[in-house]
Amino acid sequence: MSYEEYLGYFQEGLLRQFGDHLAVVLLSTLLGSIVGVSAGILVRHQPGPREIVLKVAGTMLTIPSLALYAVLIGILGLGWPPVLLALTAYSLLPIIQNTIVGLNSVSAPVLEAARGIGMGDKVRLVRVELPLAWPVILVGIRTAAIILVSTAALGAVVRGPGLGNAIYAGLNSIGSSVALYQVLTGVGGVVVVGLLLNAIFFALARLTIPRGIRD
Amino acid sequence: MTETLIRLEQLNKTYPGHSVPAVERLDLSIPDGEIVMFIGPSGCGKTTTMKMINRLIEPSSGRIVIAGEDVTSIDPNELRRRVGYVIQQVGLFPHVRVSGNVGAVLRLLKWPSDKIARRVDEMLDLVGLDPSQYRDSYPKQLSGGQQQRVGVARALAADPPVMLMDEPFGSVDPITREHLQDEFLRLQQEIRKTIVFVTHDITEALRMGDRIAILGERSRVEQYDTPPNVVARPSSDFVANFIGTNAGLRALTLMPIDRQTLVPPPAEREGPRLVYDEDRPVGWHLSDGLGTTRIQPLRLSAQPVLADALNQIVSSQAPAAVVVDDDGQLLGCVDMSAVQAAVRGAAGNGDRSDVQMEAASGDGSA
Amino acid sequence: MATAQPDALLIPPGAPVPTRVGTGLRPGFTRRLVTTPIVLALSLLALYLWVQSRDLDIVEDRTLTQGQVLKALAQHLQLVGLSSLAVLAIAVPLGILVTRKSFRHASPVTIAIASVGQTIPSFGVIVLFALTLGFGSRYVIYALILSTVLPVLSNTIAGLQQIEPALKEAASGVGMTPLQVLTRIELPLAVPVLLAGLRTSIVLNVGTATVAAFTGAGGLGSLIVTGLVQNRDVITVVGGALTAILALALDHLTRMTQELLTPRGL
Ligand SMILES: Nc1ncnc2c1ncn2[C@@H]1O[C@H](COP(=O)(O)OP(=O)(O)OP(=O)(O)O)[C@@H](O)[C@H]1O
Ligand SMILES: [Mg+2]
Repeated sequence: MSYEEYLGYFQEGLLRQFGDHLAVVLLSTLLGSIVGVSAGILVRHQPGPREIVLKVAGTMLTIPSLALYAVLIGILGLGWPPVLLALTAYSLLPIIQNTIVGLNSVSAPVLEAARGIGMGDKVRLVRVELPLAWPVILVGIRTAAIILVSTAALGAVVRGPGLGNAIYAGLNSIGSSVALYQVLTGVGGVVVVGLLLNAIFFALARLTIPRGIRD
Repeated sequence: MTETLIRLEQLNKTYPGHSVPAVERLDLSIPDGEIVMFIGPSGCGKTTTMKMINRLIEPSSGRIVIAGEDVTSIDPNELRRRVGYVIQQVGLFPHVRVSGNVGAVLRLLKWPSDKIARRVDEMLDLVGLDPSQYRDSYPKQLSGGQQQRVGVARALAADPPVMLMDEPFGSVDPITREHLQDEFLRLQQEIRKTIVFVTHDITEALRMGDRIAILGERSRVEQYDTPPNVVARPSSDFVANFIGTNAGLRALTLMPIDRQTLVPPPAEREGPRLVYDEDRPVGWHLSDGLGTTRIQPLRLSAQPVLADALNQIVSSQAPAAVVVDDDGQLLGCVDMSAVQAAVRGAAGNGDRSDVQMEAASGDGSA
Repeated sequence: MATAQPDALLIPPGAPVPTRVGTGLRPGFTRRLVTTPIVLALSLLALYLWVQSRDLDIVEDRTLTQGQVLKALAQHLQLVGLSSLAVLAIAVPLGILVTRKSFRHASPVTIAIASVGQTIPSFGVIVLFALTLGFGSRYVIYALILSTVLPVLSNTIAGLQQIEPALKEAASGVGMTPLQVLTRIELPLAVPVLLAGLRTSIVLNVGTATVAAFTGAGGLGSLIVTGLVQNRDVITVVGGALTAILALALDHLTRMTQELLTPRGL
């Protein structure tokens, strides 16, 4: 079987895996952003809780993904759920870290002016602190997403979604002529997902960072 | 003296963990529509005192009353929307345009957006920025002086009766600072706000203040008086030291030039001779081979002070300063004898100086 | 395939980075030194008790013997140890090389390759190596090297580049040779960042090495895979938990080393 024939034959499945891969990464990045940014906001001023949250998120990132998938299927079964949850957990550290750094580096005079003109805590957070911290937060989110792209591939071993399935299929068909095609396509596809994500985040930065604080 | 608008009563502030209070038993009445300058050594508590007025810092004890209302009875955010606040570092919001910065308080007050837009333009006009040119700029596209104008416009937008200004012109270059001071004084003629203005610069204090509060350690009021009185009758060595040894020169900045001060130009025969261009004085012809110097005559309508006259005399090497009307036509000159008389008066104790001082505080300031 | 990022990479250039000040041992060193081992020991104990409390069937019983588990652990450590040493031997000289003046134009290329390389799944690399080169721990180690070399490389580069050029100029100014500038000034100053990269790399390595089990190279991953294939959650969880504990333990070890080797005053 030639590579063209392989592609033609498996096109549909590969496209679905590509879409799934992107989807699972985006979805868990989104979940991680909601949890991580909220956590960052909550602990940014308290050194104690801040250290604990960062330690917990750091520990999660230290746990090997196969180990985490393995432990999670004991609770969540096979398929999307353990992968989604594990990836979300992996995304937290960079997002929380950058949220805290971003928020805490908003300049003191700007904060004082905001208070001085009568902005309450919530208004100030929404209208001043978060927009000013956004470029840094976004870098954290992008870092998280890029980490997840390759991590997600192993999700296939717990019947998770994505291009890892092509690699896993290659592993299982070692000896056959398509094995190499499958693995190469899987690996290449994951890299393409990564490039696509970089482009998405580039566009997102352009669209969401106000001109006044873009460099 | 006008009615008191802000009253500080037995105000104390001790920061947590500090044994020495930053402000101790401060009593001060700030009259409606006046500029009160706070000046004193670094760390004496000027900023602390000012921030207690809009409750950015809560007093440890004592009371602050604005227009009969105890500020602690007002929600701090409501209070701050009614008190304009300008700081040295300006603190413009870098992510929003000039219009968003100026309109920030109005948005908090939930004004409709078309009204906000109109008000923003009005404010930019007021501080001397062309709305069509600057409305959509971001702060980083403005110079330091322009940013501070936007800061002032932001503070004024909701038309607060009270303004707190903490070294607002402290970080711009001296020329821009003088320019901003002039503009601000002109603006104050229009808006008549009650302003608490912290400064480090005695010249600025004398120039801008209707009253000056000279503060010592822990915000102790060393003297609270009009600029001419502070210069002429410092209440203590502390104040005298603070004003500095060149009090006489500083006094010149407080003495307006009026028609009575003017004398005709010196006789033409021997000495320097005024040079005219189409009937307007433009320079001096210096007789002893020094050639001609150009001058920029003082316009009487710009309310020049004796310091300006002295400056012109020194820089033009001429015997007198030239004063003109709006058309550039000669009104008269101010010569050294007028300047000398004034300096003697301010440094010494002659009655004449007091008369002049009173005249100065009458219309020279504000 | 755990992925940890060196702290330095998470923060965009220009953002203020919280600085740590202190000399020698930082305050609380002892507390930090012992806390993690205690927590990990307790986790091990909990895992042991949990397994003991379960009714193990014959498959589980045979897989989870002390001998089997220790063998898997030893294999795992061997894979990680050898590949990490190789990573150091490759990445540090390479990082030094590309930061030399004559290579200035090469370092953006290195960084571009690195950022694409970051998304290559090491799962795929291991399978690919097995497929093309053959099965066996030797090829797994090659794949591990390739999969975990980037953090050390990019941190070596970052650590060397962060040094004030003025400092290097001053050093040559007092008559140091380029080699002396490198060994006496640049490398000591780059050590903390470099070690942070090594830490990331080792943690990544522990995770990636689990995948070796799919190509028959053993290690703790083989417990996980056995559990998955035989549908025995207990085995899977034991394999997963042991891998996690190992990763956290090695992370702790390198973190403490990093703290000890950071020059005073940094
Ligand atoms: N937030 C704070 N916490 C603790 N102490 C403070 C705080 N702000 C000011 N202080 C202390 O209170 C005293 C008065 O400070 P304040 O800022 O009011 O002085 P200032 O007169 O405005 O000085 P400067 O002219 O330098 O601006 C100083 O000793 C200062 O160290
Ligand atoms: Mg101050």
